[in-house]
Amino acid sequence: MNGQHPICFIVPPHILKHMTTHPDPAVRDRAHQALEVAAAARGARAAIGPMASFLAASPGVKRRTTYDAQNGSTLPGKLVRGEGAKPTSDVAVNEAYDYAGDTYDFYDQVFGRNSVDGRGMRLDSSVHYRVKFNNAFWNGTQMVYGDGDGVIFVHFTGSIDVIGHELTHGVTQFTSALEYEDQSGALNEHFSDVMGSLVKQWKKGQTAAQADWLIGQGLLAPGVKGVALRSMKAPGTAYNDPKTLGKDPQPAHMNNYVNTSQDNGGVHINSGIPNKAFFNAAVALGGNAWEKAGKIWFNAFSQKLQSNAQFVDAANATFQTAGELFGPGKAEQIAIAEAWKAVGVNVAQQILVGAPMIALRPAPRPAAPATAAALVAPSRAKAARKRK
Amino acid sequence: MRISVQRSGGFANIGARAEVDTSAMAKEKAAEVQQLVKSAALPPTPLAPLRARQAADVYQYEITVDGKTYRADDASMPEAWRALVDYILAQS
Repeated sequence: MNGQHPICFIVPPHILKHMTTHPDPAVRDRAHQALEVAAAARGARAAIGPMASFLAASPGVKRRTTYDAQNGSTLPGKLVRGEGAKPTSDVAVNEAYDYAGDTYDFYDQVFGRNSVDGRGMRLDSSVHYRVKFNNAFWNGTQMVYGDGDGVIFVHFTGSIDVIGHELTHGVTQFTSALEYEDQSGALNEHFSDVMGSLVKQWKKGQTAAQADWLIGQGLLAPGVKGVALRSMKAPGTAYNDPKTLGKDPQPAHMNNYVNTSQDNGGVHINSGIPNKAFFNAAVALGGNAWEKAGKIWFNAFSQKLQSNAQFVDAANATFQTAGELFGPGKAEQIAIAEAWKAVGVNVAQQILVGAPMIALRPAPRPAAPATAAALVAPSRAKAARKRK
Repeated sequence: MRISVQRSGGFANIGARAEVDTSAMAKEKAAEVQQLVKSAALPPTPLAPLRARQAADVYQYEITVDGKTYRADDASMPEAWRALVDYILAQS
């Protein structure tokens, strides 16, 4: 064993279990950690016996641990704020802690999901990573935030949607495991942007119409010409500053899909296309975006997508999910197909035509716009008939 | 010796690029770069890109030394490569 968790084999499990109810959050946290390490060391959860139910029994329990990397690159760094501990004098520590809590609450209350892994995984964050570091990332087990260089970026914990975005990478890791390159990678990025924006909208109590749909609003240093890093409402318009960032390269339509070897095949670029589709859907469905569009996306992305999913698979999955949640052929389902079609991604014809909605409806007239059949491009419909 | 570093990706996806040619540098600086390249111990033939499979939003790097390109991300790059990358990017 490595020497990181010496407690795990010294303290018997029944004492650790008792420690998890200790009044000091730091003690509780160490106990949880030791139990998890011990469980992992023994292999399968089933092998834990009576402890298994306890380990699983943290539904609705937030556990956050915030570390200070002290400008180094060693992770996680020095523990500075555990669950339930008082705020520190460090703004970045408190933001990482608070916004991770908001993201936890959002997933719990809106989707009934208990943390990143669905089983109460502890949320670890490290701030002050390296020196003037212009990035925030998910390393596979935790969130990591830089302070920004003060010239282009300020500290990355200042924006709640950034934290929602990073934690959602963890959710994706435990669900669809979308491969982080090309279209599947852009979908991975897209889902993180969607949930990051929804955490912010939910926290602020904003409807789809009221929301700014910006990712990383407030991250740009004073003087940089831009409003944020990405705009889901208008991809490609978040910034334009020749001296620093250049121009926001995101496309909003498949016609402008960017083929590149950089950025894992443009995962942060082409995510603009599905981002715009989500915005279209959320605005069409109205009200609070997390209630309908968000629910459709969450279910589709966490349950239906394979790790190599392409944009069309996401369109198909969200269309089918909308049918499951709101009824086949209902306005919600049609809005999803239209939202994707507007960015040049068409729900597969066999799914549109095969959907029960067709049987439920009278044969659509060619001019009627709001039917699934009308969403099939005429040329493709003709081609399909020829094949038959 | 010509060395270029191209950075892409990251949450903000703001790229960076820098290139140096040791033959055009002051002797001391050139020696510094050559030492960093030596310490990086790059394999004679570039291997598959070093990528942390479950990481997201980490920087992606391409390091090209005399025509050979090595790829790694911020989460899986050896520290000795990082020292070289940071040095070269600071020259831009």
